[in-house]
Amino acid sequence: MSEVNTKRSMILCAIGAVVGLAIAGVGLFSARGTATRNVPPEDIALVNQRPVLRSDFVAQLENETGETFEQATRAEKLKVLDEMIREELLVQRGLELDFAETDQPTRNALAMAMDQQALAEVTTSQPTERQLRDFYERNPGKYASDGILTVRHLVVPASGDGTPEQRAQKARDVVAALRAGAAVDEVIARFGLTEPRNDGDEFYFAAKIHLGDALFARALKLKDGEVTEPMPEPDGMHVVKVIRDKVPVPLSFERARLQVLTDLKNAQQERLRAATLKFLRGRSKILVAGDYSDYKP
Amino acid sequence: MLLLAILIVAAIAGVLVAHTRAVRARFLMASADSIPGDPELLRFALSRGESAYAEHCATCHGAHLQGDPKWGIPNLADNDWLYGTGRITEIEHVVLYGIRSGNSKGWDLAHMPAFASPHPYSLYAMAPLGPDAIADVTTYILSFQHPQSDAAAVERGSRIFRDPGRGNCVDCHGPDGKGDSAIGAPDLTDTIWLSGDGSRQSIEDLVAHGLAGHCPAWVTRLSPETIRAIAVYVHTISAGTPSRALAGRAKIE
Repeated sequence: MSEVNTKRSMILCAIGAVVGLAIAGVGLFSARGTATRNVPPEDIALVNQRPVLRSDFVAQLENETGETFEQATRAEKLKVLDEMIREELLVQRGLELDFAETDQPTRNALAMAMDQQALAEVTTSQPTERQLRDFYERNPGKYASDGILTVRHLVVPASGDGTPEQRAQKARDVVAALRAGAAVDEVIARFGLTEPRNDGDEFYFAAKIHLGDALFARALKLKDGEVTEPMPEPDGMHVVKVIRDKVPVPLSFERARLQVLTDLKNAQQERLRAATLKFLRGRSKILVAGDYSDYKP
Repeated sequence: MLLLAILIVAAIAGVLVAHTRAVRARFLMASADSIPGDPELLRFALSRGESAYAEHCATCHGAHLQGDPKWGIPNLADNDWLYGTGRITEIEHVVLYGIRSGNSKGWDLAHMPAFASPHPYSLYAMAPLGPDAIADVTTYILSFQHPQSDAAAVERGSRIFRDPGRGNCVDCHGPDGKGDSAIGAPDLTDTIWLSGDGSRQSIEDLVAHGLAGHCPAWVTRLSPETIRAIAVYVHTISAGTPSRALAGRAKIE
């Protein structure tokens, strides 16, 4: 009885060992990266063990031929395959020659790709509703409708008749006439004024560019229908009549949600970018020449 | 007897593994667009695609691929395609490399400018538009579907839409407003809105503040098999052929 059991045990052990070895062998020789003789099904080629993806091959084929994969001829497919293998060979040679160190376009592309790669997680993630609401609430006043300003902008030209004092007086007369209710076009004609632009309604940013910072700031302090004091500029005396100022009003979260999303992602990206560079600096040894010892990141 | 049983089980397992590997290889080597025509490959794809979609894509696109216009996330179930024409090859490319994902093989040719800003477009110089111009362009876009009472505004909007120096909407959306799936420019003449509800307010907001959605590149995070399975799943649902699991769930509900 004891002899029979020993024999069976030995047989079972042997079977176990053979099965184990077989599984290990299959695993070892078919594992990704070790299959040196076979091209994995997801790849169209291996160039020095570097895969060329089938999906990339199909995309390049369709881009080059303007046909679908099914429509492309065998000759076209082989041509594209040859191009992709050629590209892979050249890329590998470029790496051997350390182009990343010596070739500026390669460096630019690498730096940009790394930056984008580092930010990809944030760029493509979808924040939760709670995160967005928190960001919205932490930035009160940031989300408002666009302010719109409508003005008439008049100039007593510096190149006009008379002395500077006479032109200043003329500008004061213009202001008085406008404040007395004279029509803008009638004032322009009566005093021989110029009007650099009349764009109708303008967003605040556009009105600021149009009027300049100082004149824009003055205009914003006025109510509809009011007129600024004359303001001297190199090209003449400027006067602005505010026709309408539609001031920004706060937007609800619902109205602002796309802007909140963009701003939150931008803020997250900036934080991530700073953290990535901090990490890279932290693990690097950076020596700066003595004459630039005041360098700070 | 025991030995025989072990051998039979091992043999069956071996056959199953070998068969699955063969199907997997065929699945990956086949032209993506031919998969729906092969029931075995389609089953293979759907059995993996639905769970992979739920795990990786549903967070944004929704459990039923319905998207969310509040966030400018496209509906994947309506067979209306922002990029390409809905072929599996094209969907697979989007899943692989994403949209504005930071991957250089992804789609990133254009985005909607924010015309109510000093520099509306990041790729090249464009002139901003004023509130009146934005209102006119909006009126013109609305006129694609509904007659507008202000014919003069439609005419002004149409001019801005086509003006290469101002607006230039035609450059992406085409002279007829039907968009361009080669760059992800939506059709403005249909009732499908990528963002918002098609109201005057939401269109004005889009013209004023722009839009640039993103989709991650999964090429480094998922296997080629999973990516292809997701593409087949999305294509199948969008084409109106529900997967078995979905059909079963629908019955239960």
